Amino acid sequence: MAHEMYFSETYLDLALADAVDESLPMDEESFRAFYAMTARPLWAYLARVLGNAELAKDLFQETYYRFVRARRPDMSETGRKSYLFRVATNLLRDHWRRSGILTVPIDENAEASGVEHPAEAIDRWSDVRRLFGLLKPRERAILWMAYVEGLAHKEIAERVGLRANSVRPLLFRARRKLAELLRRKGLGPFLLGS
Amino acid sequence: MDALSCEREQEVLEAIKAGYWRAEGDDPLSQHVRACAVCADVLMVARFLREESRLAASEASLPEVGIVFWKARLLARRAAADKAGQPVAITQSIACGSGLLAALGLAIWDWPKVQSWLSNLAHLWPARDVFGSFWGFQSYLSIVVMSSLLALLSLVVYTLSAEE
Repeated sequence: MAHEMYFSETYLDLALADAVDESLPMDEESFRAFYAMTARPLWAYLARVLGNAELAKDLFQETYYRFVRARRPDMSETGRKSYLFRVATNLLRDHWRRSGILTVPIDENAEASGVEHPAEAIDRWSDVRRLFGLLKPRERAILWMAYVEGLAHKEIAERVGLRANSVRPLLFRARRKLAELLRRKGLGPFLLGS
Repeated sequence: MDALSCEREQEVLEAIKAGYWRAEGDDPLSQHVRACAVCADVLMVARFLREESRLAASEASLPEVGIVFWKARLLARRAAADKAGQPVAITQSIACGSGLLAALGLAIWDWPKVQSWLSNLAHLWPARDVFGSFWGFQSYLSIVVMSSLLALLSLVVYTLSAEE
């Protein structure tokens, strides 16, 4: 737009850039430390809940862009991590809302197939992974928050945009569904074993 | 314990997290899990998801941290520039629009004067014969001036609405 060209050619642009850099809530050094701590868990969350690595890559970067720019109160390391995941969850929700996707495309026969030998199932973990995609996106997100991140129901409710009371039955149904799929796949003994 | 959850779920999760889970153990928790459907589901799902998390994290090809920070900073600068430039751009458009409206208003209000100015201009124009009669050329010139003003006005209105 015209005003963009105008500003990019004036000294104001440089002054503004300096002011923006100074006002960022995080400098590069602290960002590097924070990224080292959070990037892999965030990637795992987005990749598995979305079930699409390319899309996960886009949302992963967008999450950090928004996080760096966000004006937020002083927070502890845990608070910042929680904030980062909240940004990511909001992006996931926006994506689902925009695309109207309820479930990720899946192997339709996976659910109907009979029980396999655990060793075969474990050898084909990439196939087993697809079971997670049989759940609805919101179910995947709340299971991940509960059992990977270890969040309480109240925190899950805040991130997903639900009432705290609604999380318990949703979590129960999602857990029951996934456990049933894992049993059918023959992974019960392996996952219940030592 | 109720149908949806069990009060010992947290203990099961702690055991998985600490890595000391023993399915065949005789400890009270292992015995409980063997008897409790909820805790058995919790155990299966949590172990599956933790393994998934470990695999996903190890497979990740993450963008270089410097690039992520640089781009985030760039986007912050662009957003700030957009925000700072908005009032200036709107003021410019309003000033242009007001000037054009004033010119148009003046032209309509004192049209005879504009006509005489255009006729003087037409006399000075050496190629007026190309357009036929003198009055024909004067009308042509009036149309061009009015159309230009209207086109400029439309442009300003469009710019303003695009800004919004």
